[in-house]
Amino acid sequence: MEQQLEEVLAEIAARQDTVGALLANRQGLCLGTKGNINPNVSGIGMAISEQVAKLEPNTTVPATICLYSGNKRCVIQKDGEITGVIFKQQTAASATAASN
Amino acid sequence: MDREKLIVSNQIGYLILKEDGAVLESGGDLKNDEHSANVIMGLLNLTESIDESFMPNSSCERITIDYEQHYYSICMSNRRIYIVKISKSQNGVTTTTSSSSSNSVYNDASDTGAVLA
Repeated sequence: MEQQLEEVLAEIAARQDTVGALLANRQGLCLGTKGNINPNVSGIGMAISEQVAKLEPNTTVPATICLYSGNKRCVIQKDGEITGVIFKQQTAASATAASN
Repeated sequence: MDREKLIVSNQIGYLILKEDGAVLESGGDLKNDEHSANVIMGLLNLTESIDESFMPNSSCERITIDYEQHYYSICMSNRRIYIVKISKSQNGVTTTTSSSSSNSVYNDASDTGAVLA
């Protein structure tokens, strides 16, 4: 089971601009991390996804939450039992590539 | 019919809140929607301290909540919290329901007439 989670985390961490990623269970406990991310973020990440789930409770497809701060982004998505939190930071190189 | 405030194109609803969460203005899908206002105030309190080492406390300048056919954009300006619900499709009509746009919840003339005008 852990191997599958680690594979998913490795896949997320390999994406452009990703600083770190973690997965949390429905209690907000950290199931695994990859990259530069504090495992303690799992609790607040879970709390945010639970809060947003109250916004449109009848929606079947879960929402993706994105917090922006300068060139940094925190992406949170809940999918069933598991919540994913991804920290992203746009580098100068990726910003140039995006504008081309 | 009153023309509703147009904050962005493709908007299907908006809320303007005071810092304490009181609703100042609202319109479209979010007209008088105190439930959404309360949920979003709770969300803003949670996002104040996500991870000090990655995002300094209270540095979050914008939040988006993305669904399949619409998204919410939340930002703060001049001590007001602006929440806008925006359709992802052109003119507020979803691409999947464009052939029967009169049935689309995003094309309700009474709610979005001002936006579409």
